[in-house]
Amino acid sequence: MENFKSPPQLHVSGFLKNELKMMKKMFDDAPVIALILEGSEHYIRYSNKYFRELMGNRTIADGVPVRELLKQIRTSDQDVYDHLNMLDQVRDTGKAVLINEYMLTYDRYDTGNPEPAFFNIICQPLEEDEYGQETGIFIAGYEITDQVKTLKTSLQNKRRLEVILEAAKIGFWEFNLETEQTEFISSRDREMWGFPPKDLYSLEDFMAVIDSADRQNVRDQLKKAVDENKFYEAEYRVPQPGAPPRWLMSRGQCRYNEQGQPHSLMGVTIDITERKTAENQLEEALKIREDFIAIASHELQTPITGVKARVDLLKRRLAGSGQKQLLGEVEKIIDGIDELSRLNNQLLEISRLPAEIALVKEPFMMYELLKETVDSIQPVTTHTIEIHDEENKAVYADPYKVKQVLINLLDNALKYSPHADKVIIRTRVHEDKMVTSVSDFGVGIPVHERKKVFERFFKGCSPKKNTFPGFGVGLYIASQIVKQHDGKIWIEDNNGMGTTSSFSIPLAK
Amino acid sequence: MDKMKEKNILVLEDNPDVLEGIMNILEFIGYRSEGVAKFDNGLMEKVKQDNFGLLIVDVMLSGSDGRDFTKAVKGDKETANLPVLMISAYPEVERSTIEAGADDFLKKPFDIDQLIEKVKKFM
Repeated sequence: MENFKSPPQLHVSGFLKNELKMMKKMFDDAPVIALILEGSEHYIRYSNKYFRELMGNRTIADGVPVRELLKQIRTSDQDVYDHLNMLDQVRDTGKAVLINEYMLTYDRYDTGNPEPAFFNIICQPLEEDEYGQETGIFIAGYEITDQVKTLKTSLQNKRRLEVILEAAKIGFWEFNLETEQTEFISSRDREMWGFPPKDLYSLEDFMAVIDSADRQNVRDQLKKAVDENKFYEAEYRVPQPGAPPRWLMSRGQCRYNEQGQPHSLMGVTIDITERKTAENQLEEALKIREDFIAIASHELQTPITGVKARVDLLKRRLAGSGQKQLLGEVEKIIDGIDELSRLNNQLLEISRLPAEIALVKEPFMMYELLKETVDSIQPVTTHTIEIHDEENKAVYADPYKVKQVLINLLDNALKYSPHADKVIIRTRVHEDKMVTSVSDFGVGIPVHERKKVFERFFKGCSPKKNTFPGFGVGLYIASQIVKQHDGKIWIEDNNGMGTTSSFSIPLAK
Repeated sequence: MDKMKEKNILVLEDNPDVLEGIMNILEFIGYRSEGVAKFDNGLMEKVKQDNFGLLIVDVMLSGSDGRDFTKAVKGDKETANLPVLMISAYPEVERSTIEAGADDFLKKPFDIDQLIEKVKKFM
């Protein structure tokens, strides 16, 4: 207030003097703004502690015009003009004004950065002087900056959320479970459902537009979300006239009242038609590829069968003729054909992995299946396949699939023990399972690779780092079949003397 | 083989190379065989009249299904006891061949010893 000079003449009526005394008593420590202005220049005649705190505890000299205070608190020239204009109006009209969210942008703590603050205020004109002029204005009020900011933030958040939902093409809805009608539905959500504009929609309005094939699932998911407080999620089709259906996905959550009763369900709807179309196309492309592999590999089996039958026979004929060199060549051809056939078998297996493993379980004697499998493989290997410790018990499983597991394990055992001369199969009962093990005397499997062998396309290495031929799907398929039987499959090392692969399947009850 | 066995083997297989390959092996081990590429109404009559000891039947035939033939053979009193060995490149059809009445199944391609073992089991 250094530049301020008191006005030479101040007119203060007797009444106002008394008012001032009373005001001082009443308002000095009150937690509200109390400010008395006087005269044409709105000289400050009284300000209470609360007001001075709002002014950053600046010294406010008696009789200083409001204009000076406003300049001191760095209010812009335009704002100063506006504030004074408002005060002039109160003075000139003699009418009290109530202003909510009155904004004053000022530098409260002298930081150099004026910031807006908000007040609810009432400006009450005081008595007229002898010329009919208002001589004073009493201003009372309180600050509401925090509330306004909170409200603004919340409005901003709401607008942001609306922009985000709109940009992400997400519909929003709230369904009242007590009235069984929508509490709110965004325009995007309504548009996705193809609803005509109206205020409220019932659950049946929604159900009516969902494809009948998906309705029950949507109902089930809704029930689950409400009854079990689970997150609601459902994908469903909305048929479109003369066009493919639109795929929608809804996600939401139930809200409960204080008594724990379900009150409303709130969530979002997303149009997933593009994703579903892409998924279907991908699925179709994969199916075509798998069908092609299956057909191609099957077509290959036929000429292989014809060639193999002839070459096998040729070998037999040569065996008795003494033409050893020719016989050796034919044997190499047979080895090549066998390898070709084995690779081709794996191609066939890859093409129908793993969803097509449908089980037909029945009780059967495990030993009989082992014997049958060994009998079919023994003629084509130089290894002797022995069955030890046989348990004569029935299992409950799909015999054809268990046979495939055995064939794959035996195939592996034979392949990874090229220099050994036997493979041993053992069975034992463990709790309610039959455990079957296939032991070879080959290269063994390092510890870090034992779990990996059940992964698709895993291939082991010989100690010389030469990989063994094949695509490495046999053990993967075996593991998938065993898992479907609620069994386990694992591999152990025979102390560096080969490998034992085991699997368990349930015993028949 | 010097001496041919008395009973014939019927081979129903639509691929001429595979058919010939199988018939050559059968001949080598001393069996007479007759090859047929497709299954039609006349085939059942032939099976009834001729003195077959074993039927080797491919599953996937062009235009027909070998399992239907097996069912017809096993469903007729006159031929029900005739052994049927079904062959296929699809191992997963084994169950359905047994359900159709086949006595045994052999996956293609097979080793000569596997075929011989199966044939000798029935002949």
